[in-house]
This record gives sequence, C-alpha cells and structure tokens, in this order.
Amino acid sequence: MSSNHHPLPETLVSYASGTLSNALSCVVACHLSMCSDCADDVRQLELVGGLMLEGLETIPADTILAERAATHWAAQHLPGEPEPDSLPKISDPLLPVPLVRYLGTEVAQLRWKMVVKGVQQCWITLPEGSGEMRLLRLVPGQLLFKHANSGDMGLALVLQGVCRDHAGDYLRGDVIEWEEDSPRQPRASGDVECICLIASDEIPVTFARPDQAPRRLRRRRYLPELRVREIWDRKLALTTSIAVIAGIGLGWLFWGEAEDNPFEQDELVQTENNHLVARGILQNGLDILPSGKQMFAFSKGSEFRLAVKMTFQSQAGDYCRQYYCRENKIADASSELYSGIACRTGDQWAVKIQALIPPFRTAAEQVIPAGEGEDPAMDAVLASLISGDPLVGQDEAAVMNNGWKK
Amino acid sequence: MGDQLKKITVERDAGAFRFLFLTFYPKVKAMLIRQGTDKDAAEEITQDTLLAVWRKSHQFSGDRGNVSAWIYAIARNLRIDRIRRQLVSQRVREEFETIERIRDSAQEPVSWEQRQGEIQRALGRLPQEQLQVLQLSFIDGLTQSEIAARLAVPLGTVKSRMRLAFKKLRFATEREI
Repeated sequence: MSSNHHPLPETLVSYASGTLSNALSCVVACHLSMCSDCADDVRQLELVGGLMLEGLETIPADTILAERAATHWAAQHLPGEPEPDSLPKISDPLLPVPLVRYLGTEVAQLRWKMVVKGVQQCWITLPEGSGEMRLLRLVPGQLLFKHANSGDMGLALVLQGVCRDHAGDYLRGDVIEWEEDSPRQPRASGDVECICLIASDEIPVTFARPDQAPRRLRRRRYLPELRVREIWDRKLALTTSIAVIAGIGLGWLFWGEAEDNPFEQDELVQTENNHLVARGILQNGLDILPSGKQMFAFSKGSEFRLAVKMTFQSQAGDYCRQYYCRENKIADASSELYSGIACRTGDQWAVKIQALIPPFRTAAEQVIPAGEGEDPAMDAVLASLISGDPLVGQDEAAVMNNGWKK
Repeated sequence: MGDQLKKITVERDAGAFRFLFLTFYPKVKAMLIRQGTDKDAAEEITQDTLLAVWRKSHQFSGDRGNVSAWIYAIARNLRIDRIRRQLVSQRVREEFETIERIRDSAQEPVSWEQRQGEIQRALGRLPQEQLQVLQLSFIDGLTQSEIAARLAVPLGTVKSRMRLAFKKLRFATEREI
C-alpha cells in the first residue's frame, strides 16, 4: 500500500533522526503506517543513523562503565520474558494507529467545534513545545488552510475524502506539506466530507472560505480579518453618530472634499494623465488605514465605508493595497460595494483595478466580503502584482510611517 | 552482529547480549551526550536502549533492518520519549511490522545487510557539506533550523543538502527516485 503525495525528503530525514516536533512526527508516523515506500525510506535512513552510530568514537571510561553495567545485568539475571505488544484496543478504520495512541478514542466519540460553517476541528492535546495538531472536517469546497506567514513548516494528512490543489488530488494517506516558499491552498473536493490531520510548528493556520459558497455562509463573524474591526468600530461609533446627524441634509464631507460629480465611484477615484488615482476617502484610507480596519466618510447623502484587506509589495517593489469600499445611500437605503487594488506611485495611489461587486454577495453592513477570490479579474491582477507575503502588523506600520516609500 | 541478535532472540543467550552491550553502550551514550542529554540521563537511556534489545529482540528480524539501525532507532525514541513525552516514536517499529504484513508478497525481499553496504559506500561519496548535515541531524540531534544556525547558512540550504543526500542514498540502493 502506498500513497501519491509524500513528505519531502528532508522531512523524512528529520523524522528518522528524531528531530521533528511531536505534532509533525505524528503526521509522518501516520503516513508511514499507510505508505510502505516512505516506511522503506525511513528504514533506510535509520541505516544511516546506525552506521553513524557505529562510527562514533568512544571514550575508554565508557567502555569500563559498559563492562560494569554488563556484569551487573548478568548478575541480576536479565529479564527473561519478552514484553508483549501493547497495541491499543481501539480499532477505528479511519485512524492510523499512531493517531489512535494520541486520541485514545474513535472519531465518532470526538468532540468537534465549528471553526467556520462547513469546517469543524478537534484539537489534539500535546505536551508544551510539541507543535500544534488538530483534526479537521471539511465539507466539499472548503479550504483546508491558507499559507501562513511564517518560515516554518506544516503537514496535513488526508484521512477521508479528497483534497485538491494545483499539484493534484490528495486521497487517504496523502501528505500535503507547506513551507515558506510554496504557499498552497488545498480545498476539500469530491462528494464526501474530508477529514484531515493537520500539524504545524506553533503556526496559526488561517482558514479561508470557498469562492462559491452560498450567501448564508458569508457572514461577518466568520471573517478573522474583521476581528480587529470591532475595536475600530467602537472607537468611531460616537464620531459616526454625530456625523450621521450632522451630515444628512447638509451634504458635507467627513473625509475628502465635496464634488458635484454624479458618479459615486468618482468619490473614490479620478483620472490624472490618463491614469486612475485614488482620491477622497480612498486616498486617505490607503494612506493611514491598517489592514483589517475600516473608516467612514459621508459625502452627498451617502455613507462610505472603506476597509483595507491586505498590503503587499509588487514585483516592482511598489507597495500595493487591496481595498473594499461600500457606499450606503441614505435616501433609498441602497448599497453598493466596490473592491480594488491600488499601488503607491510617488505621492499618489494608482488604481490598478476597481470593480463593483454584485450586491447579493454581501450584507449592507459588511465591507470586506467573506471568502477569497470574489472576482476572477481581481484575483488575476492580484496574482500578477504580488511578490512575497502580505505585510502585516509592525511591518505594515513601519512602511506606512515611512510614507509608503520604496 | 545479526548472529548475536539471533542468539539473543532464539537462545536467550546472555553472552551474546553482553557482546552487543559492550559494543554499543559507549557509542549510544556518546551519541546521547552529543545530543545534549546530561550524563546521568544518557547512562539511563543507554541501559534502557540495550535492555530493550534484550526484551524486544523477538520483534527484530534481519530482513527488516540492521542491528545498529535498530539500536539507533530505539535510542532515538527513548530519548525523544524522555525529553518530549512523545507517544508516537516508540511505536513506529510496531507500525512497520504492520506494514510488513500488508506488503505485497510478490515483492522481492530486501536485503538490509546488502543495503547497508551500499549506503555505507554512498555516505563515503557524499560531498562533505551533505554528510555534515546528516551527521548534525542523526548524531547531534539538531533540527533543520538549528543546523542552519550552527552552519550559518539559510534554512533552505540545509533542506536542499538533506534532499540531495537523501536522493543520492536512495540512488545508491538502486531504487526509483
């Protein structure tokens, strides 16, 4: 019995030398129990360990100690009966034996907790410093994980169902390995629920949601990016209330300047030298808004909510930001959502793409839509621009404080 | 040494066990100390390792590996159990036993003694930097990141050296890469 997707060779080397964390070791051990090829490789690598052990130089004092110990054992009589095997009694066809040892129970007895709709997880307790390990159940279409912004590694083992990414299909026993330079986004596929064992060296794995999820799945509470927004919302709540009262009927601007242009999008962008550049709230927001937070502005009886989803560097080294902006028209309670990508060029934000997102996708109060890949064109522009990992936290703040200079 | 183990397994020969004990005790202890285990713990783990050879010799047979590799694996697992309270490693051998049973019976049996000779020759041909990362991993017990720090090279370099070494060793035993 063998698999189609295996741990990387260096992972097997580290496993054979006993230098992987508990969590990663467990995933590899489970894979070995289902893959005779890799088990063979590990045995062969243990030959390397044995040969190196044989070749070790020893000190005479240890040879003397060995003599004493051997004499001691001879005098004490060596334990006569070999120990019987103590394999666990639990027999769950879904679980590889090494995992049973950790779980101590069958899958049916596990207590699952929902991560997002369609994704449940069960944490597996490990000693401190052992890495993280959990079981995941995903309905078809859900992402197993998004690449984490870390140089460390992680492993996932498919126990049931099918996962799929650009490298192909992963079936039971197959391993998905990720590392710094190979971001992967495997997704549950096929007709049945996918169950995976996933382990990493203390890296939080970010879950994402599918491109084509039903609308009922797209709810704000599933968005990790927006957790920070709640704090921002509270800070702005008072200001916003005052602005709403004062703004209606007066048509004054909270951010930016009032214009007579009837097209709402022109509140966000304008053409200069045949190029679209950000203006008003968009310009301000791109300048000062950290990723994941949002700001408000009022103009001509509309409320504009801007949120920056991500900051990244383009292949040319420019700093770019993906944003969403919702316009809520107070008069008729209608709402429109735009998304776009703008890159810093000199003192301006050059808008590379901006598109209207169909209204059925998101609720009126929501700025950043749930899930990835809202628009294939947006994804294409993003893919053509992005270089490396997104900037987050202090890295983003440092660039922002430096005026977005390259 | 396989013969000594057979004597232990079949005849429960204490003399054969003494031979293995004297051969491997200083080496296992030296390896554990290089891996950062303190002296007392190293002695304890070494004795436990060799007693496990006595107790579990029935689990070993020559067509599943080599004596020194087996002892290496037992010492590795006991050390991991000690420092990380790991539950998996100590049972990996048993998992392999399971695999052996499901292995296609039509497959050619592997001669591990022969393979060990091939591996030994291949190790001798490895570039120094590849051999070095294997030694730091297998004998010094360093993680990939620790090796990178020790050698002051990027992590990716350590990985690629390990990968190349692995492929050369695999090639040496004339199996598909």
